[in-house]
Amino acid sequence: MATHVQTATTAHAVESGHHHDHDHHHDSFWTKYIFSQDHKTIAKQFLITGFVSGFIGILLSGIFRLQLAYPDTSFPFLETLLGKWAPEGRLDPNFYMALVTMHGTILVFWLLTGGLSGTFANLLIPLQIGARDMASPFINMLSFHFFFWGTVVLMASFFVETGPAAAGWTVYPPLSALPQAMPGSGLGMMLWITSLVLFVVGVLMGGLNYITTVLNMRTKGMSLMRMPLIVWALFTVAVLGLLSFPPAVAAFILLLFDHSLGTSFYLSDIYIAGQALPQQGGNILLYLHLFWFLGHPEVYIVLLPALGIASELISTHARKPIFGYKVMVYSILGIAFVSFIVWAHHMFVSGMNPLLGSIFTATTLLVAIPSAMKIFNYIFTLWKGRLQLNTPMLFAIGTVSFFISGGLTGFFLGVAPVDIPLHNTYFVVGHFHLVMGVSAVFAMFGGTYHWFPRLWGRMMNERLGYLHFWLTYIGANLVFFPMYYMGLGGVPRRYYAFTEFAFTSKWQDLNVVITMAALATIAAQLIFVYNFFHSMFWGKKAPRNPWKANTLEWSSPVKHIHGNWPGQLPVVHRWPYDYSKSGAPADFIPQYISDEDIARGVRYWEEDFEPLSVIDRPDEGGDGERKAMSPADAPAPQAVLNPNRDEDSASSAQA
Amino acid sequence: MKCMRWIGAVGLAAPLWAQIGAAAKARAAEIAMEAVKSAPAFSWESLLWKVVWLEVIAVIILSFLLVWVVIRATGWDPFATWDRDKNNMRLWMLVGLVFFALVLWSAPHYADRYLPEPASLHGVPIDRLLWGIASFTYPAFFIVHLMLFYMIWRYYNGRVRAATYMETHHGIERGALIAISIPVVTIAVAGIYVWSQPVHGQSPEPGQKEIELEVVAEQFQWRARYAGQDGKLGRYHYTLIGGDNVLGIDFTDVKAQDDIIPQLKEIHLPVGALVTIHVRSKDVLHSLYLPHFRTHIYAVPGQKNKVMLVPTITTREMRKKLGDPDFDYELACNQLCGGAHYNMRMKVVVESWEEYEAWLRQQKPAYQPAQPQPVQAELRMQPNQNS
Repeated sequence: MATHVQTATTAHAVESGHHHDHDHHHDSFWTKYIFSQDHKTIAKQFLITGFVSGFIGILLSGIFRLQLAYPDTSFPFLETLLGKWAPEGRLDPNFYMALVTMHGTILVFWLLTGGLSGTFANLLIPLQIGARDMASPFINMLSFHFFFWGTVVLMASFFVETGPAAAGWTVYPPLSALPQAMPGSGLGMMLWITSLVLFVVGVLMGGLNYITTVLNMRTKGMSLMRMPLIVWALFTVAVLGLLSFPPAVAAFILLLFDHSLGTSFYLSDIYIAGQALPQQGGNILLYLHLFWFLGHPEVYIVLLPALGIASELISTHARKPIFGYKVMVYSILGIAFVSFIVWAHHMFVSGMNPLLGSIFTATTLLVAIPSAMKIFNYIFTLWKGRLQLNTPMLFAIGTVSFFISGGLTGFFLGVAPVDIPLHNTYFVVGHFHLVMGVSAVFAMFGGTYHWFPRLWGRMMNERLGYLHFWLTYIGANLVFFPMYYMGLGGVPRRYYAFTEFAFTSKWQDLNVVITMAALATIAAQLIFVYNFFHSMFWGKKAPRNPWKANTLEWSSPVKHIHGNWPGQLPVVHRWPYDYSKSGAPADFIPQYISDEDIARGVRYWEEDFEPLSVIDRPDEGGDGERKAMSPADAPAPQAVLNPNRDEDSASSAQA
Repeated sequence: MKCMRWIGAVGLAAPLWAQIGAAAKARAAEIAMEAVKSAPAFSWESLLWKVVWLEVIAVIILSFLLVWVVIRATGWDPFATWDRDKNNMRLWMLVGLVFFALVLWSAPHYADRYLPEPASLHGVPIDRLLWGIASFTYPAFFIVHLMLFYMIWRYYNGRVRAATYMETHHGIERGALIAISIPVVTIAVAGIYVWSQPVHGQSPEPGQKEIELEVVAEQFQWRARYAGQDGKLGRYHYTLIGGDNVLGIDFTDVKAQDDIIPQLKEIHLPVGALVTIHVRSKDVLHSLYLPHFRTHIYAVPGQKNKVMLVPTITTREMRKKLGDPDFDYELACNQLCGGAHYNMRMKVVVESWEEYEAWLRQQKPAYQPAQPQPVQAELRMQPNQNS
């Protein structure tokens, strides 16, 4: 049965059955909600901060899409909302760019990195590997606070006199280094850099925790090849982040020096606002290399956890193992490795050495291979499955669909000569929105609907879920597909209006279609917002394992306790994908159920089954006999005082 | 009923709503008055569209409200016997069909707005490669989506009694690997070839004319400088910029003294000649984007970039091909450079060698000072403008 050999590194001291005395851990408001060190609470904090930021980010896009669709119309409500940034109801072009910049920054970093990885890593890693909490709950708490205060600093930049950073989310110098080039490059830019540094520190702290926890705190029987794919993905992107964020922080610090201290890392030969600046010898391409060295792995830091979520959702709701688990693991590692050697495909037309164009064409196309293997494997997971088309499954299928639509155009952009007419056009905008802005976000939505019962003990409303899904699927396609055609027509991105060129103005009618679809899709997200907050308090109470899933998080009590399991940690006997196994009494077998448990007739599939009756078992006697336990013998759930003070706890390092 | 609480809350707040409504109406009237005073010419058509959109939105919201009220009032549960899996499957089939139809219809429908045939020698293999890649991705889009939709149609919950356990299938994995590797390798090899030969391997044919010009980007316009009689561009330095010397040309350099900066905002290129364009920027990053020629390179302050191209279709010929007597080649900026980034336009004219020479002869050389001495601009630290 078990095709996965338990390796020596997973041999682990089994939790003996002792429980801490009944000093219940009393949390004050501050330690429970604000400075929580419990990974589940931190997950909620990341989720809500991420979604709120994300909603602000897409609202910004509603405003600038309005400008693009109706460039000659005055909108009085804009003046009411934005004051001096929309005089006479016409959006100021510099502020237009500020909106575009903040839209990109908030959504790429805050929603898709912090909100996606932060939430699901915190929620799932300890629970799915059978640990009490993260390796360092204190640093975990700090990681959220750096993330949160970075958010505050970024949002504050909206309110400064000269406006927020406006040089694009990529903030290329000299535009971003010279306040006289653009108003947003003054204080707004300093605040942007500050918030990014805070953000990165938070991400790195989180990443350290994830890596340490996955490597050291897996429960007995949880070998690396028995980990759910989402854990593999989160572990891998933690490593990716640790290696790729620091060069970008270096880039931002050098940018700050050029901006405020008159250095010339990037600046040279500049005559602006009637003055010749003294800086000579710097080169902007240094910034481009440093930034994109992060920039490209960053998009895989976004994508890999999203695909990991899709793996879990598709296998669980198709009642079938993920197809090709080993290939999926190798693909995650392969994508992560190759993502480090493709960055200069963002720089094909920058004037760098043309030889690099050839090299990076080859490496960029290489990454298509593991990516395509993953997509095929999702489709073949559905093959011969029994598909439950509930809301999480719909979003997971949507993730795959949008990855097809968006990923295929990577073949054009990754080839240097074809990138010549397409670089910085709407073709690129369509491509990255479909893969990141839609595909990854759909995975985030799907994961939210799927794990909502684990986070809040209630179900989200299914019907509203279907409505949200279909409106968003249709709307997002209507918004981004037309952009491909615009790109083939050469329409550049980051343009305030299409009215000044003959070859752009012929696309004006499509702009109206895109804007209308965008506004409708943004409105559709209100359904999700309502569903999310309403279900949190008044949703149908969830059973312990509503989706009949195998992974360990569904064996933890519905009501959160510190330490995740009141007694012993579960012991893992199989991989997470034993769905519809022939000979099994149900179409799923949770990881903590052994073949012996099945043989002695444990009815684990019933709704009122209590996992603790299997998890909390006395140590095996010398002859391997185990006393049968009935649910009545299970110890009552008790709060564990401090997860790191368990004497035999999972935090002792494994070999 | 729980909704009683809602109705009660709404009702109690009625005076508040009334006040808010009155204030909103007054503010709306204020705004309307201001709009009327400062509005551009009134357009019935745009008003009609605004009203139509408002009505559409109102109808949608009201129908939702109506359905909700009916459900609450009668206790009817439309989802009681609703087959979730079958109906979502049907929606996938419907939406998928409409999606396919729209994609199939739209790609050729907008084809007349894509970039026309390339107007340069190296543009031809670029376009050929682009459409070659499309001949793979376009069918792949449909095939892979069809596979996805098929799985939904064939294996949704109502149609299958049990899933079939399988960890993998080596034949399928191998087939998928081959299926993706062949296009990847083919496209990579083709791409590297086109990049190194047609694009970067341009050199003059025997007897082919060559010209060199410089295009300089600044916030927010393009300037061009042509080599004069000597066929060479002179030195420049950014500290020499000032007064009429907008490009910082060093007039102590003999080669610079006959350089030409066209007074009109247009560039002329001779058809069939090998054109070398030196691209630089005075202030921030810009990008020289000549979409019709498939030419694109950043204008980097402090770095000397250059592109080469051979124009193959004159403006007059292209106008005839497109049936558009007003067509002009356009130079656009394609790297964000500030507020007016969208408005950096320069006309590009391609004409015969004789017409080109005649045009160039009419242009005045660049400003020449009375004494051929460089005027050194004063180096100043820029004040920190961090407000």
